[in-house]
Amino acid sequence: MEVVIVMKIRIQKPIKYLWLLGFLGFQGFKYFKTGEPLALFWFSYFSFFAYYFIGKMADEMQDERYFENSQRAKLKTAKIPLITLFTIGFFSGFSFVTKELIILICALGWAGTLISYAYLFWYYD
Amino acid sequence: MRPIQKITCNLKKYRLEKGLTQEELAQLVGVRRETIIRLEAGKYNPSLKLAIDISRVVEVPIEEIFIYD
Repeated sequence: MEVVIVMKIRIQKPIKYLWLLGFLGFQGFKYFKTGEPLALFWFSYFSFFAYYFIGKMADEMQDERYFENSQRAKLKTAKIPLITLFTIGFFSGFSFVTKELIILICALGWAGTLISYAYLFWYYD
Repeated sequence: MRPIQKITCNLKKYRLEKGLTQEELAQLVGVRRETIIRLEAGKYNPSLKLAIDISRVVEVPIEEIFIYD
């Protein structure tokens, strides 16, 4: 019987705790205090919550099903940035769309894409 | 309307005949135990390489392990 040497790819343990950086996203609410539009970019830090799901799979061996599930999740969540970009582009010409709204949609679209990808990946796996 | 085609997996039967656990088979073919579980439940279709590796380990032809209806 052929013996197959299995290499377990281990991601470093710190990745399991990266999701805590997601709480920095709440810094985005500083905009309501300072009125500085760039403060809204802090909402993009919510994307680090995706590491909660990725950290759950950090010790898993990356076999063919792992990569297939990753691709499936990417395929499904690719729609989110497409819709976000289209929305920004389409509505940017209207006067009611301020730069704050555009920054907010960008930041939340980014975070939403990564969190959705991580959740779907974990769900499929 | 085209009928839905299905792959039936008889892996569990041949694995037990060989006296292997899911974990042992998974290690021998280089996948996770969860992959073997899903294979046996018919919830995952293996790649050609994985199917060949499983066939070699359990010493049964592929077409007897995975039946395409």
